Amino acid sequence: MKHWLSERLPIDFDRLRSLTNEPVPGHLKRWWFALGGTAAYLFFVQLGTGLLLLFFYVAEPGRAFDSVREISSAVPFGWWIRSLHKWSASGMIVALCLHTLRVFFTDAYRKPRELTWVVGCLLLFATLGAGLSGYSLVYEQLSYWGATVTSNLVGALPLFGGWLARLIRGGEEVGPATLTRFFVLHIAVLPAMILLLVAVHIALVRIHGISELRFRDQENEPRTFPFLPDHLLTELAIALTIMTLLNVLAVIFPAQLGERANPLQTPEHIRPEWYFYFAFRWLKLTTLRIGVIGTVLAAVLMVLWPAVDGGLRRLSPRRELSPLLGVAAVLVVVMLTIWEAVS
Amino acid sequence: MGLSLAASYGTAFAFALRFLFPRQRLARRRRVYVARTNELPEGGSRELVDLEGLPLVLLRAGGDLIALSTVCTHLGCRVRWSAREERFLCPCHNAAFDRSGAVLSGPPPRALSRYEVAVEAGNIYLEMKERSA
Ligand code: HEM
Ligand code: FES
Repeated sequence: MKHWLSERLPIDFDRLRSLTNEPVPGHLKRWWFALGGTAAYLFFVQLGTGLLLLFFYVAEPGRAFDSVREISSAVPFGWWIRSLHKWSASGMIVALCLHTLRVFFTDAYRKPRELTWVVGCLLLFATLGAGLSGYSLVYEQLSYWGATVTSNLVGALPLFGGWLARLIRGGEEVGPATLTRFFVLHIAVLPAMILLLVAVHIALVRIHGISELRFRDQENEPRTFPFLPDHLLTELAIALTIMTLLNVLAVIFPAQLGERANPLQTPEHIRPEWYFYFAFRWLKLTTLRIGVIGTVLAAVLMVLWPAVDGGLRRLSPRRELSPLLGVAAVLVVVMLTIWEAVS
Repeated sequence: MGLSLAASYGTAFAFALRFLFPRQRLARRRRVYVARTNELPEGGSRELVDLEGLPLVLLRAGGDLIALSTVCTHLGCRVRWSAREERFLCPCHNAAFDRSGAVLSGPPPRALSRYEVAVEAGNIYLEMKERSA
């Protein structure tokens, strides 16, 4: 049997094992350094639950809302699948933000890991896009107007904005074709993109090795531990904790359904999902042009931060400016978010 | 060799792009009857939907008939008339427009757009684009 298999599948399992079993630095025993893995795990939860939702969801303006209501109220455990999908989306964004912060404040984006940072930023953006496009599928008032505002925001981008907006809307205005396009983005384009980016991201992490940090209480421990089985067990323990947490949240706060989308009337009180509060508040504070250009600049600055950081370090070799600016940026985003949340 | 590869893949790509982009026909304009003048007394208004499915409001203010699109010029939410504050309010990013559509406050870059109004023999007509589909 073994012989039969190895003839048809000529893989050297010992080599494969030594290839995949990379030594992991000691600090990854601490869960907050394994947040990238947490996000990846949640992404697979999204793939699983999303695939299930597809069995009942109908991407047609006249029926989308009813199909989601059906999922939530009639399909056995539909509310559970939908709630897991929703909470796991939020969790994925939380994990990615925390992961970004930890990478930033431990300087792990510096040479030679600049490209890993760039790919990571793209992953964050793609995930925010998945959250937005996914929410628009529900076709309730808030999600419909959120999608409208966003597609018009895309249209206000300099240079290729109008072109891009027509592409994602399927027309000059948000219309019946728009839901189909957001659907395709949500269930095919973005997940495929994320999968690809995750592969590149992880390949880069493996090539450079995880940047090492030593803690005082770890001085007597070996510097690294094996990926298999030790780190896999850490990840599995984290996964179990998260699954429990998601289930508790899904049961106590199941995904709700608002009013059906009405293209003729924007509701009195409108607000995006929490992860876009900061952008929403920012758009209220600025003119359209500054609002759009500011957002684009912030995103570009973030992606190119390794280069900016290099420049800063040449300018001021003694004092580290990056952490200060990082704290400032985090404070701005957190403040805008809180402002929107309490207003 | 390189040239022909580029040409054939390029053509396929161009067709795919063409497939993805909505047809942009030159929208034809049409004049549409919407109301009789005596149905709109001073201060009166009427909510309508144009041929493209976009909402608008026809109102008489200071003797003039004005037809304003209620699509906010900021990011496309629907503004609504607040009788109490005597202005159009946009719920999305707190914009306000006056009765004539001019921006009073908030982020919108320009006034609400207007439809051309024509009155003939007591009938009110609006100039609007045909649905482009
Ligand atoms: C990148 C990861 C993903 C994120 C962040 C994400 C996020 C979301 C969000 C926030 C919603 C709205 C939930 C609600 O309010 O009910 C949603 C809905 C939906 N998603 Fe995803 N999603 C992801 C991946 C996927 C994948 C891979 C699929 C399909 C294979 C999928 C299929 C769906 C469907 C069918 C809906 C509409 C039904 C519903 O809202 O219950 N999603 N998604
Ligand atoms: S869409 Fe009206 S203020 Fe932003």
